Amino acid sequence: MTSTRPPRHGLRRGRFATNAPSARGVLVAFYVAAALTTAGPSSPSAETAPGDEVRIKEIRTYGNTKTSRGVMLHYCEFKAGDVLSQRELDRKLSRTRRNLDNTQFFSRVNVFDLPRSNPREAVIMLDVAEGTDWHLSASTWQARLSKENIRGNAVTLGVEFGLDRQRLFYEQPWIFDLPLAVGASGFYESGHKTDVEGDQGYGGEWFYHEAAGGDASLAYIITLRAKVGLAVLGEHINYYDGRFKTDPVGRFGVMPEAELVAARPYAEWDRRDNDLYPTKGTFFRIQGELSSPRVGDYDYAGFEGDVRGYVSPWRLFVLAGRVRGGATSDATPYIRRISIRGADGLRYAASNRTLGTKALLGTAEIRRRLFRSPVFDAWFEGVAFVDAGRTWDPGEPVTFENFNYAFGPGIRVHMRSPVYFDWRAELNLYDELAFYATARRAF
Amino acid sequence: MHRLTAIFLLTPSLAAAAAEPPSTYAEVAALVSAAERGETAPAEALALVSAAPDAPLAGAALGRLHVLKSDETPFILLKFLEMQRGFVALNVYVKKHREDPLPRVWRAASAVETAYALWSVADTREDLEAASRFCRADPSLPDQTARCKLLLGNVAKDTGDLEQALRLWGEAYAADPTGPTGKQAAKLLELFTG
Repeated sequence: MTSTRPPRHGLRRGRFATNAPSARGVLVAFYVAAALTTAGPSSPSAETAPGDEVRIKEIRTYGNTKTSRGVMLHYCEFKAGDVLSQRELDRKLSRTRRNLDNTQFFSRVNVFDLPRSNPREAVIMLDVAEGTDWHLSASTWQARLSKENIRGNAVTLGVEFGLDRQRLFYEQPWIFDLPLAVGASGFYESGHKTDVEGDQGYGGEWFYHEAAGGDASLAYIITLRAKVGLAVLGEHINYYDGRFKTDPVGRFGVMPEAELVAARPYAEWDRRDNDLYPTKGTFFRIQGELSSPRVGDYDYAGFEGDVRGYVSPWRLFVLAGRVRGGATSDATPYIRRISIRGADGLRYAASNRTLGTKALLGTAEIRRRLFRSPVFDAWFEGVAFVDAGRTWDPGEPVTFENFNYAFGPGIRVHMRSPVYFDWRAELNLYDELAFYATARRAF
Repeated sequence: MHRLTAIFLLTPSLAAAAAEPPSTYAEVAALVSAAERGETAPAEALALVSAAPDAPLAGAALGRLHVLKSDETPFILLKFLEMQRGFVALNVYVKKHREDPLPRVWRAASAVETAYALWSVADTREDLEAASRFCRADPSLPDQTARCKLLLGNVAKDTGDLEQALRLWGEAYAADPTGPTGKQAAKLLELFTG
């Protein structure tokens, strides 16, 4: 039985000049000679002195059985026809490799400066192995499943589902081949109870609320690692069954029904070497949130900043640090105040001062890769963490005292196949023990 | 019939056309070869080999065919399970028949095709080097030298050593200039040279 299946042995695509054995023999002899007489990949040709200019003659792709060539070229720091010094080319090759790796579309990425027949003309090969396009993550109450790089066009479609929140979302960069990224989502939060923190003598208060809404965002891709954008959030909220000692509207923005519309401008600069397992580099993000009574029931403004740094002083060890902080106006409704709770915040469940209108949180971790899973394509990692932070209530003076702390050990799993999946468990040893297990990737 | 001769005499198309469960080492090898070239659907080849579980090489062939079939399996988890099933079968067979080069080459080819998700780069290299060694030591075994060189070249390329990859592909071509492996090597050499 025969079929027209493509040949195997890992060779699935390519362009070939000739089928004649004799011509092939001559060509192969030439290629072998070229390969053996010129320098290796990503290094200057022996005949190209440092500082000499090189023209990029061609960019080839190999192994992208699904991802379109156009998408891959978006992540290149150069294009065919560019004239660069060898040093500059080497730097851009390295960055291109990192860019492609960070898309998480591929399980392996190589960017080769191929041996040259003309020392002044470079042919670049983007050699990849397609990775999984399913990403799964989960917290205690929520799971998130997304399919990335749909039809090889970098489109993401996903769903979040859980006991108290369902959300459907869509994201796509490089709209019409322009440096623009769009996103949209719709969500529904079924009613759940929120306990008000018992600061300033107001313990024993709570309310229920349910909400439905959506958001849309548009971002400009300044460079492959930096972007600015604007998201607009709109939601309708129903509050019910509240218990308050005084003034729920004035103190917490709780009223029977409310419309919330907020503009959320943001800027992000990501200089990490890897999005999934950063070992060096920095990450900066600042985000504002502005709501006007002209288009909703609330009138507040605020911002949050997030700075991260990574360094790897020894092989397999990574020191990671993060500072998060922000401030928002006193009129901010309780449900939109800044929270530093949970596994991504202060890992000490018994603390208050973790939700307020001003916040500061510092986290430091030392991470070490321990071993590879024998069953899945996954790594186990050990971690030791220290958190310190607090929030301030409306009108409370900002004094740097009464901080909350947490420290302890943890273990994490980073799986790349068959799906992208992260799981982590951390134990706080400070004061009362607190155990956090979540399937969301750490910072 | 001598195993080596049998492989050359029984072409993959003939093996597929026969559509009968294979019973000899050469027939099993030819059936897997046909599936690798895309001349037989892995599922069909798998059914034929499954019908002859006692045939020589059948265990390893089942493993290789499961990995080939995983490429066409829908749903990511089913694909992964198929792949894993393949590697388990290959590992069991190789453990019992340590000096047979062909299963080791199949395991290495499977590792290259699945981006080393279940079989590491170091283990793949070791398999290929061992297979080459066994072929050199015993000329009666099916000659896998060219294919080992080709796959070692792929492994070198995958780990970023293009210079070494080009050299190995050149050697693969030299070892089998007219055969399918040599043609593959020639194509790769052309594609990875500027």
